[in-house]
Amino acid sequence: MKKWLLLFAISFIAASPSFGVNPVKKVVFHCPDQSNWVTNDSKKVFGEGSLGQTFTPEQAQLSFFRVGAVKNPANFKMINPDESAALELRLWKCGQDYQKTKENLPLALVRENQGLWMGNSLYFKVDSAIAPHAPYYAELTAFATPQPCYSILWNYQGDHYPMGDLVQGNLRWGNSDLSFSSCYPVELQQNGKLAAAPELVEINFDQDMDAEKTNATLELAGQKSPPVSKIWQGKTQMYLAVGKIAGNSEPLSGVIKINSVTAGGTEESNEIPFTILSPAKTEACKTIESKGNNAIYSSETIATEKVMKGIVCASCSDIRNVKGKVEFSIDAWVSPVIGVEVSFGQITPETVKALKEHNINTVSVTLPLLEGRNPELMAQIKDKIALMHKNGLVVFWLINLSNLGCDPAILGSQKDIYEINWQGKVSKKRCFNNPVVQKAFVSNLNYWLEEFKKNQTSFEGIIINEPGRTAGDFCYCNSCKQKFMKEFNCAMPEPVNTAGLEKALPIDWPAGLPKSMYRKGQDEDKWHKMSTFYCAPVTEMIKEIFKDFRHYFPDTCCQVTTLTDIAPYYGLDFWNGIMNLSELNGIQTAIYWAVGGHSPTTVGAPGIAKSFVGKAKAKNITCFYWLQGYDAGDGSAPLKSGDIKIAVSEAFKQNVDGILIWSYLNPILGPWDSPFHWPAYIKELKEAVTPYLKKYEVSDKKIELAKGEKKSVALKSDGSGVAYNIESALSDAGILSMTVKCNGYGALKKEIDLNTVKGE
Amino acid sequence: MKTYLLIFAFCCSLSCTLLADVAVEATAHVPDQFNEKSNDPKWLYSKETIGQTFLPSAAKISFLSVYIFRLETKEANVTPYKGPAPLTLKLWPFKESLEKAKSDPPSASCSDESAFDVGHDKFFEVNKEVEAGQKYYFELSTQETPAPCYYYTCQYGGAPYAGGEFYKSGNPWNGSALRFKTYCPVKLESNTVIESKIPEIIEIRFDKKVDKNNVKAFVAGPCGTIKIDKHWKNANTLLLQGKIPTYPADEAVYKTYVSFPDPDNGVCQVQVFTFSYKKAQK
Repeated sequence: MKKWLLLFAISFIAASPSFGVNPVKKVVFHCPDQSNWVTNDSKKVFGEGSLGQTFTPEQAQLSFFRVGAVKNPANFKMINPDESAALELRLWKCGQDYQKTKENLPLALVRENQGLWMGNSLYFKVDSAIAPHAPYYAELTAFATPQPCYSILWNYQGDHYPMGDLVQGNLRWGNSDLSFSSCYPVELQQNGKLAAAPELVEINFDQDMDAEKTNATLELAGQKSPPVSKIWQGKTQMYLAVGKIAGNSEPLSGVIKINSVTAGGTEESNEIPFTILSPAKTEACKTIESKGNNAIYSSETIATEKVMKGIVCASCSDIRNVKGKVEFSIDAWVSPVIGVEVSFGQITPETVKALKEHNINTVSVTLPLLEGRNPELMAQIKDKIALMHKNGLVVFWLINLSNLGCDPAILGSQKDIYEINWQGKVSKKRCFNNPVVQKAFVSNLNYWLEEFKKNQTSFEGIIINEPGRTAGDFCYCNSCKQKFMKEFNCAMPEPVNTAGLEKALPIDWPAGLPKSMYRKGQDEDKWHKMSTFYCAPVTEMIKEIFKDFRHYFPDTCCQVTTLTDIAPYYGLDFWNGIMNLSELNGIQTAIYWAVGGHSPTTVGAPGIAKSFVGKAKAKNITCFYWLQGYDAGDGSAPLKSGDIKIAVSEAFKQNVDGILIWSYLNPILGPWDSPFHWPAYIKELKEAVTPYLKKYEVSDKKIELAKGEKKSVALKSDGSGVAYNIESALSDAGILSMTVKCNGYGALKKEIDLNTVKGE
Repeated sequence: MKTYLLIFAFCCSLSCTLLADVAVEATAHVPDQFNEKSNDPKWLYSKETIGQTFLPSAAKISFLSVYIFRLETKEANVTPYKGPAPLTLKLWPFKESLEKAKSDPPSASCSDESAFDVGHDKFFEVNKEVEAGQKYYFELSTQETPAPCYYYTCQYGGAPYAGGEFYKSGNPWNGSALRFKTYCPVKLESNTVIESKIPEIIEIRFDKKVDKNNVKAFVAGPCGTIKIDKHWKNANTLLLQGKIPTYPADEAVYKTYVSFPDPDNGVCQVQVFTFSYKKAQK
């Protein structure tokens, strides 16, 4: 009987659905370490071409590298049966520059067939140990595809990923980035705590599985479950593509549910709960301690003037309580503008601290594209500008004209708004001669200025950065044609003999006319008109920007920067157009000696000084020189130790009102991993500018104040005629307030809490 | 009747396929004997000849390059001759003496018309079977040049090349060597392994005339594409010349990618030639 029962039991188990040992061996989350998901363009990778991205990981492991990409059907014949037209990824630790980086074997070479396509993302399985905080370079190629098969998604400008840049060929595109993620693996435990949500989930089984019936879902509390797609690698490894999970600063709890069915039909269910910690608790968001002044609370604000020839500075010393009164000495001086270009993403407490410690008093920053409403971006801008102002930095907005957008509501779906070149090819650039574009541009600019005003976000100055148009890139859109006809009573001239020309027409300088072989002799007069016509939209745009800024922020220092060899520069009539704008407060020129392998003494060239400093002084506007930041990392000659000292000295010999450091193609902190790197450069910069920091100094003026008392003193610096008006007041609460005013240089307000001051 | 039609159709399609495909072959040319040192630049014209003995280690010389070029600017107070200056390279097996060797007709003779230049190196296509380990002598001469016109360099003293000596107008300069290089061919078949020396020339041969403007060819190694010069030797032969880098790894794979539109149907074809470079074992 017992035998029968046993037999019955065995046959019952065999006939019913099977339940066995859990086949899930391991669940690994691949979480993003570094990433950029913002894209506004695509580039083709094929043949000899390459496209790459530098990045600086925080983690010690790189499991997957995601690239935003689209694969198009191939239209060619591969003769070798064992070769395939595949996208490949190579990974290097950055060397001094592109060439040096590639002198070493890559740390990893991963082919497309070792990766996972998930929508418009290709995840390359890299599985490489890496050094946190060191720069790396990932490069994509598709050698065996002679025609464009792969479109790689990227973002032109905006610097959405500040710790690296896009690289095409061997050139770095500063402020542009691939759509990419570098992912690190985290083995998921029950109730595991993670620093980031996964982009990819890897589930490993200890036996062959039924790929059809085995499924998994990812659920996040308070969120709709993200759509996931599954991919099998063999019969024991399943991947779920999760993509980018939007989060906020709150911790996020979730669970992964796995319904597994083995190849033999055994079913099992698993649930693994986890928590994603809030970003604020992770290492990425460190706060710095403010630099205390012997525990004396101190704050200062700087007010500048439209024409900003320097910054007023003051210091108090020997603060003592003497018989119920406060006695102190005051020094006041003017400091020239010492500025560094910092990318938007790099404005962090650490960067600001480093700049302040190295005698930098000004920052120029390029903002991301401002187009349409974007409250999130406004909040970021507000925070970053406030951080810089709180630390006493003067902030210049470095404006690339292409980064000021248009009001999408006004543009609507209008198609006839783009520039059209001489080949009839429609550009991505909107033509400012088109009245709809002009209206949309003005509306958008005013919207943003209004937002800045509402958010109490202001800039001491704006700089229109190297405005102009590509040489010979004449526009033949309908608006231009009509406007040209109206202004000159003739049709636009057309180029001739253009077979074989690819883009812009070769131009004769300084006339700005196409070279003689590309124009008919009888059209010369028309081409002169075309050259003049060509400059106008840029000047008009600048005029509009200045006017609108003046409206919202009357004290903004409105400036334009250009290269030294303008005549006209890229179709911009600088001297007769821009220089005559009534709102212009300052001009600047860029002198980069390492580009072209010149000596830093170039900065002291008398010809440049005569053109720029001389003309600025004559018009009573400011003149700053842009000097080169540390190693360019591209094809230019490397910057050498000592160069910046020579350049700064040469610039001040020419009587400039300040210097600005252009970090050239590099973000200031980012790769390449040059031996003459950022810390060394900024240290030399500090040493270079220190002798020039104080001019028109008045020192050691003793002031005595009782509580509730106010005093006003006037001081004149020897020889210069520069006068300071110092107003001081001591509140009953023991707060010493001072305002130092200096005509032509602005004002400084300073508050010091004297309650902690000791001594009689 | 149907069967005949079928056979006819099959033959047509077969012939179309045969016509449509262009066969491509590739040969790597690997340095064999060379001296790359030089400290003594000199002029050459018709009054003198220069030569070098060497010991090939391979059974064929495909190319022979010499650092020699036309200098048309005044150098060391010499005003160069600017007229036509044909340059000839001749190769002999070296016997007991140079006189004896040159008493036979040369085993190869190349003019500069078929040579190509890379920088100041002139590459002659010798394409000759030789006996490995047997001494050879090559000589460069230029006719009807009344004044100096070619500039070359050699290493004076220091015995930079152990396999032979530099000769000037038939006289040996003991311990000196011309700046030269010989190459031996290695046909690239599927995954050819090349040991010890990395190729410097990849020769691509098409069996039909192709549209040169639309032929793309490049070499990629472990780190990506390699900077390389292209020279069309003739309508069917493309030479890729350049310094292919090597890496610390014992073995590295290099691929030559050739793409071109089929002359008959315009369809782009891609062919890949792979070789592995293996370091010499110590």
